[in-house]
Amino acid sequence: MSYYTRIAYVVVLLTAIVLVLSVWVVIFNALAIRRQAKAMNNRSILRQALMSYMNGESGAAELKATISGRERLMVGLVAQLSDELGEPSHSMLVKVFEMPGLQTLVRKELNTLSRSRNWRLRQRAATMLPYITERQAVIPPLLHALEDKVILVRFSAAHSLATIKVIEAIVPILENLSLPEEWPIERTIEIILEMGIDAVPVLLHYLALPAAQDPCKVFAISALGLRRVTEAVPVILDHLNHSDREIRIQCAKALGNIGASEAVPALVASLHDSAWEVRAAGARSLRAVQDDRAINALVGTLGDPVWWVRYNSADSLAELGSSGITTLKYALTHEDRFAREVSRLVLQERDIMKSSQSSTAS
Amino acid sequence: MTPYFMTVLDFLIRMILIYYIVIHGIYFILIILGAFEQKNYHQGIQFREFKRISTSPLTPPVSIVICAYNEELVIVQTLLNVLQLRYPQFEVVVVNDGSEDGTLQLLMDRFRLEPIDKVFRKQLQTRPVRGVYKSALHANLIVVDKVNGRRADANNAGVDHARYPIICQIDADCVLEEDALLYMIRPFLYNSKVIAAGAIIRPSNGMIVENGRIVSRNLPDRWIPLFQAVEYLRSFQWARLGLTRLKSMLCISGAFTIIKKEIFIAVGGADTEAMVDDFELTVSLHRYIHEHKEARDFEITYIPDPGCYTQVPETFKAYRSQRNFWQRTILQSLFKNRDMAFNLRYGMAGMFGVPFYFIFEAMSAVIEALSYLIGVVVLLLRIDSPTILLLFFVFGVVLGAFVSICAILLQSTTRMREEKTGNLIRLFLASFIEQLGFRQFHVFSRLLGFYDLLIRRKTLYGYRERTVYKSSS
Repeated sequence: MSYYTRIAYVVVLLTAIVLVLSVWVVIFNALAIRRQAKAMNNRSILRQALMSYMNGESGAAELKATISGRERLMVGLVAQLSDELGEPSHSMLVKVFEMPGLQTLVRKELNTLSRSRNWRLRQRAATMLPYITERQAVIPPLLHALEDKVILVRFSAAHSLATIKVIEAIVPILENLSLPEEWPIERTIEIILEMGIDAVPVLLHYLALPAAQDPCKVFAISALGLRRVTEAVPVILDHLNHSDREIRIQCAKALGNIGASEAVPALVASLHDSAWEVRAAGARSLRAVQDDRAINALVGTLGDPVWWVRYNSADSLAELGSSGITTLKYALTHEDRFAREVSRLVLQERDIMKSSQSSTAS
Repeated sequence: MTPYFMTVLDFLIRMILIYYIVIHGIYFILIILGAFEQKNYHQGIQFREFKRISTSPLTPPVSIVICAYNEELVIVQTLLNVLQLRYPQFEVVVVNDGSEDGTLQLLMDRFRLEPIDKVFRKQLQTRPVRGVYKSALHANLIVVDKVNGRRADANNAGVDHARYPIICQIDADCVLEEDALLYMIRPFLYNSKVIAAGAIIRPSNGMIVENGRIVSRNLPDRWIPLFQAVEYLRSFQWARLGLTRLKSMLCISGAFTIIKKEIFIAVGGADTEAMVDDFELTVSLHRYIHEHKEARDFEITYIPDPGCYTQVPETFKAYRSQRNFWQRTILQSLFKNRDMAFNLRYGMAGMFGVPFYFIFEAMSAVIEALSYLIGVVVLLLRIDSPTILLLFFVFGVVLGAFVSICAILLQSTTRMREEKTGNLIRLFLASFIEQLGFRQFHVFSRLLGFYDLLIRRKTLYGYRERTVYKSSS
């Protein structure tokens, strides 16, 4: 066979493939659209049936009949409804899964969480289980999932435990998700915050433990600060001089979030910390305590080498009322250029000072 | 004809044939890799995840930087669009890069801009800033008016004035999905090693945008943007995703980029010497990753969600100008970074990314033009019959269409599938018809890019056009 003949065969073959593919894509797309429309329709029917059942307009038998053949859609739909409607509906929706036939779905998800080799399936099961199972039944597998080798599965299990407010899970969550190098601190704090106010005694108790781990302390302090727990001030003050920089940063931030006046001397002292992040956090936090003692200290950091420290100091001064603003205006003639400029910026941002046309780099 | 001439000709024909098969083979593999990435991405999204991100007080704030040069036709819609994004905390920094039209005045009137004397930390060198304005209507909108530089210069000025740790750069002719920032920030939330991300970009021609809101997402009506819709599908949706998996994606489109500010500053900002900054910035990021020990684990990622829509040229003149410019930018950047090619120090980016972009992106126009030239020679000298030439031509057409159709097929397996069969058929037709004339025009435009860069040393963009968005009325 000649070279050109072979090419010709390839062209014919490729053309045939392209044509078949084209037709197949059209058919596939049409079927997918149809399947999608059907699923949406089924979801809508199921949703209506579940709502009627919860409102007492229809009985279990009717609901069961509607669910029949649509079981696959139940987990996702119930999770969605539960999230939309809140707690009383959640309990009723969980009871739906006690119906014969639907228990298999719950068992399947529980099995997936504990046994599946596919971590994505385990993650999905960890996310969905609280919406379809009784609280007590789901806690042990979720606590166990906190030790999963894949961090995202642990994360989903922690979120689920927070959704159903399992206070005893707080310490395991801290211990399994406090991985500063691998895992962003904010994601774990979000989970602790989701636990609600009941988490506070557990966090305070944990911080008092001699065996408490430093990375976990960072999370606990930050969560207490964001929750504005005044009872936490003494324990946070105890940690403000900790050797771990991250703990000191979180302490300074937390004290600002809480806004306790007894924290002023410690926050003023934090403005001299060797780490600029601590100084910046301290400067920012001083605005929250509304104390004149802060003013002198903040004037001192208007000329800090780090922009964020300067900016936070000036911004906090502006927040400290008329005396703070007067101080900022004085700072416009400060001998330090950085202090002058940052004062001007903050006054300008707050429309306290008239603008001119140019912008100034510092 | 001497035997020597015939041997050379035969050799060239075989090489070109191999080149075609290899380039399409690689694209096919990239598309498959992209499909796996897409599957992983969608499977990874958890129930309530975006809702949680959108309500969390701990989601990092973002500064959206928009560079505008003579954008009076689209800038208001773009701004209205971004100001309505669903995101906990963000600011918008518009940089008016010395526009000669009414862009600044339009912004001043529409958003009630007032001059402020903004002090900022100057970390990047830029052309002089003439003024900074704050909107009286939107507390999170500022406009920086500066002397014209290139887009890189404007980007740097915008980043200098941005106050948040994450920068999102978009073009002034882009509209974003309401949740686009949530999609983009997601990888940063779970992986502190992610330093930058790009996303799927699609043509906005054909979309209906009203008061900044996307009302309808239809395909472009005209053929030229429709051909580009197919091209964007191949390249932005699948190939770049595949390249990201291979850690070789060298171009996060400047139309929609999200990057950590500290890293942007660390690489020296956008390169003002580059004709266009996006390619150069992505290459600098790869360089940074491989040249700094502490950055070894850093990642550049790609979001396979269609978050951003941009205007593509609707006329041959504008298209030629754009592709000419793109060809020059890629050549300039690859030449500048030639030391990375086949250099183990730069990992996959050096061993595969740079050579791939050079051989199969930058040089493809030359090889294709050469194949047409050989065809003409063969025909004129009657070396082979026209049937054989036609055979080769059909082979090229079918090979190109095959890759496009694979891209369309994969799109149909995702939630981004075309909802109208008519649209799907239009895409198929476009993937065939583009090979018959439009592709050759594309090659011609890129060859002009070679000429303009190497002979004329041209660095300016050239002809550009903007159109207003379609409205439902």
